[in-house]
Amino acid sequence: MKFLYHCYGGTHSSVLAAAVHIGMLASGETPAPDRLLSLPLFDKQDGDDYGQIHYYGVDPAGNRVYVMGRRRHGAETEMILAGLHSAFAIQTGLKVVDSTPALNWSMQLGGFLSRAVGLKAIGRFLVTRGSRAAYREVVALVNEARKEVS
Amino acid sequence: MAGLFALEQTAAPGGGKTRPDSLSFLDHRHRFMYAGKDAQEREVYAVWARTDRTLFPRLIGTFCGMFDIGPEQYAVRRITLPPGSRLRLAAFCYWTGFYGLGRRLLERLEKGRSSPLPAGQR
Repeated sequence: MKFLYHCYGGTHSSVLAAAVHIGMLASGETPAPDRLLSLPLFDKQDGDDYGQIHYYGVDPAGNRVYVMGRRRHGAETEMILAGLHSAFAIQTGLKVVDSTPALNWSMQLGGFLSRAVGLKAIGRFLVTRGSRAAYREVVALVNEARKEVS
Repeated sequence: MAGLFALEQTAAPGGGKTRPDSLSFLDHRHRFMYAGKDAQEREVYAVWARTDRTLFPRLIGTFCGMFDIGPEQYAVRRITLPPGSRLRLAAFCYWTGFYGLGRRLLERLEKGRSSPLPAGQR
């Protein structure tokens, strides 16, 4: 089984969900801002990188976890992935999860300021603040994805 | 356009004209469609959506990398319409969201077409 989390830029909510999924972040404890900023790909993805699927790690059950940014084309991305999976008759399962429902205004504004405008200090402050506020929702999203395939 | 061109590629030579009123896929805003097999028995698919030109090739390329599908197993071809082609207007209607108008234009063009698309437009 493979899990793919996607969001607008592939650098905030999808990375957070993937980190929770593989156990890099503990589910029951909200991570500190420094811990969030030290995560691979967190607030580091170039916006021009959208459409690229990035390997993130392996979860305790041995499933590979990936992240990607797809700008505003979430539905189209899921349609193409489902079509390709069927066209190539791939036996390995693929669970595609849109992580944007966990987003809040602080993450969106912070992500925009940090990645699009280049105001990293204020942007990262808002992104980490928002990520901490959304953490329980992200954990719930990951648990739901796990449950759906078990 | 992708759906029509994919069907053209899989149609038997001299197999007649397409009947647009039977092509329900024309009404879909985005779709991944199996069109059939071409003369070399290769499976042909069409995919279309209102995205930019970057997302599809990247997504397909990295998806195949994810599942260890080698580049010899697939080919991606973007449909481009030649300048001056009357299909461009229909394509523009689809791109801008006027699906009904685009479909009507396609139906008119298809009725007036007497032969399959020339090879250069495939």
